[in-house]
Amino acid sequence: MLALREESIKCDGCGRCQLACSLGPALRVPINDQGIPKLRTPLLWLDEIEGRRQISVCRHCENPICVDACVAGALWVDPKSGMVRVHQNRCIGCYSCVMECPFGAVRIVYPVEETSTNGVVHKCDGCIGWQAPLCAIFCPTGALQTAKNAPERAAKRRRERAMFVSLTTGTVRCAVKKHG
Amino acid sequence: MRLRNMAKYVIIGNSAAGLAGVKAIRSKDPCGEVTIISDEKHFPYSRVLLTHYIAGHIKIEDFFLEDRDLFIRLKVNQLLGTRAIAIHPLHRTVELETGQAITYETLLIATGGLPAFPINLPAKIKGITGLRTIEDAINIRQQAMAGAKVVIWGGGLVGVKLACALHEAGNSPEMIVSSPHLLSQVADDEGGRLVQQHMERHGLRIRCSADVVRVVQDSAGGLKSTILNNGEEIPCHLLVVCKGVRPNTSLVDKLLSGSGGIPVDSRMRTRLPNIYAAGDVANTYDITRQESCSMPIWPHAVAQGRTAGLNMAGEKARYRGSLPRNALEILGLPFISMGIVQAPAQEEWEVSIHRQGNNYQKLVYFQGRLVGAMLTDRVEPAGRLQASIRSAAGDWFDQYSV
Amino acid sequence: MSQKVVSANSQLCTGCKQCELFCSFEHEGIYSPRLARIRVVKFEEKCLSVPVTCAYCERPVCEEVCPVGAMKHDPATGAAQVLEDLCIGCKECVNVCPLGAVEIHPKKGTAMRCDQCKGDPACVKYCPAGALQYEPLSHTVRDKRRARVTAWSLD
Repeated sequence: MLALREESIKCDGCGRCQLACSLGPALRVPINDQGIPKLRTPLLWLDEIEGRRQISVCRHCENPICVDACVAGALWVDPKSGMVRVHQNRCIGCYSCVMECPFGAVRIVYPVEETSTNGVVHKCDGCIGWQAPLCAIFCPTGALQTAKNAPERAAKRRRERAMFVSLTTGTVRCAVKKHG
Repeated sequence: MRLRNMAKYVIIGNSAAGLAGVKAIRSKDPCGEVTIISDEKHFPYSRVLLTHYIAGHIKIEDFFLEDRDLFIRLKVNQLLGTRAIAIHPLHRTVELETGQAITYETLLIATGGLPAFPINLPAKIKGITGLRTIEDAINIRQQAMAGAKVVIWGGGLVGVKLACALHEAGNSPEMIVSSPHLLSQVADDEGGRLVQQHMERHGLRIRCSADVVRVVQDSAGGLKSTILNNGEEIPCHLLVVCKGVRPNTSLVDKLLSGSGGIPVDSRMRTRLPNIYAAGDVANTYDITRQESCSMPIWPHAVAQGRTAGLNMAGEKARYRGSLPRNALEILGLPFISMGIVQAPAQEEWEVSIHRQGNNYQKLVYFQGRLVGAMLTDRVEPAGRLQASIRSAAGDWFDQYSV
Repeated sequence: MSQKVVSANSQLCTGCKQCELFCSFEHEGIYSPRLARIRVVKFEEKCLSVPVTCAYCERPVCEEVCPVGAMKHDPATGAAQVLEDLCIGCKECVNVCPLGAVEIHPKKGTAMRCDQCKGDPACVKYCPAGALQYEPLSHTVRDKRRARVTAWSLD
């Protein structure tokens, strides 16, 4: 399970995350007759809210509200990966999920080709099958980072901060040791 | 200490709240006996999809979101197509129309709502219907595809969705709306008018401030036309009444006083011991209006059903409060409204409006707190706004009184 | 700084992790370090162990970042709370906590953080080395100051 960390304050709006998200899967799918890879729409968005930049990307919540809200069974939690995934062919484009996600990470997108009458739900697919989420790999500022899962992130943070403690106590210990 | 496998759970109603209740009970108690009773013979289905079926977006199989063997896997006794007619709290039994009595330790009433029919309409004549069940949807679609002239009475969410669905199915319905504008319960007049103009651009005919006063039958007993309050006669084979739902409280009307839905606390408990209520039948706390009332929407029913089920199985879960809200797509125009959208012209209320073409964004503040929002077209901020409204509403767990 | 916090003296900590075991038992009824609200970080090569738990920040960013208002603290006692009925498990609090003191419950999917056991923290009670104290931070600072000055004065 991937825990995506975003620090919007570091985001400079370059959009490389969106480019990587669109382009990435194209590296694996066949190209069309003109030799152009078929890009998909990016599954994360950059918003400006009250003057602050926010990265709207799915957090793959443990108790996802969007899944509860879906009336067509199009959003589901994959028990294997823990990701919140989409059955796009079940989506009826009702916008209930858009109304629920507190991160603005679920959106309805109308396909360019007129194959269906309604827009369908689009959200981060967790880059299942990739080693790490492409957006985080390509983010130049570190606004998007990943960890294998939430406990690993917390453990890593604890270790980093505890290092500071080890530096300061080291000094005291030396002082005490010198004088028995 | 009571042994778990002697627990007997009974749930009346197998729609959103009933199904969520069953799943929640089983998540905590794998052994207790669970029985689900419903007057509908269908396996639980998504009522919100009815208009999408009429439009031709989905097939009958798509109504059912769970695997058909769910109740077998969860070891739930199914009494579908059986109506419960009375509850006897002293004996802790539910009486069925077959005469059978089912005993319970804890009971969940999730009987939902019934379409409200205005009293001036004759009851049960061919050609007049509501839209609440799969049978209603099948009937409406069949008649629409056969070219029937359809009149929709009601300009609320179901009425608007139905009009768009019939339009997409190739039928051309008329809409008769009592209020001065569409979506009067969830939109202000500018939003309602924006939606109306959009629908009219697609060729739909909508009359506001109009009412059906009577119907005219043909010689075969079917419907011939409807007469409006201004005297106009509209040819009509099928009149679909979309005037809202009222809570289906017939089982407890003799046991509890009061009108509207069954009042419940934050654990979904009613005043009657060991009896819970959830979904369209229940009155819960509106966190923006700060009062208890009925708010029949699908996500409320699911969350309430789950909370009721967890409490019945012994976990003290609390319901996170009702926020009236609706999302729909009206012939390509997304529309989302939440909380209080019509602000009174008083000092403590502030309104912020942004309008550009079809994009209408309205935010309503009370005492500086966000209490409502309405968005059309560019609806992406809706999720964040809902989170703001909920945080602004603060702690409400103790506000409940049953 | 009169809010009492669980403060750790890593000089005294032996790394036995009794705190983790008693914390999980107090809150979950079983001995399981994964379910503890206090975790011990070990630097084996330095013979150093550092217990880490919620520092009761003056500006709790975990509460600011929660989108559903599930991270609150009791206004009377100051004790940190997770309103599990509201928590959706988005892990924003886990991501933002500078100390790594917030975790997600593996079964419930909701956040967990130190609630100071209603004013009588189990970890403090059961620490065999006396490495954990439950006191206002000003006291811990005062004691550390005293220890440092004492060390200097022996020069």
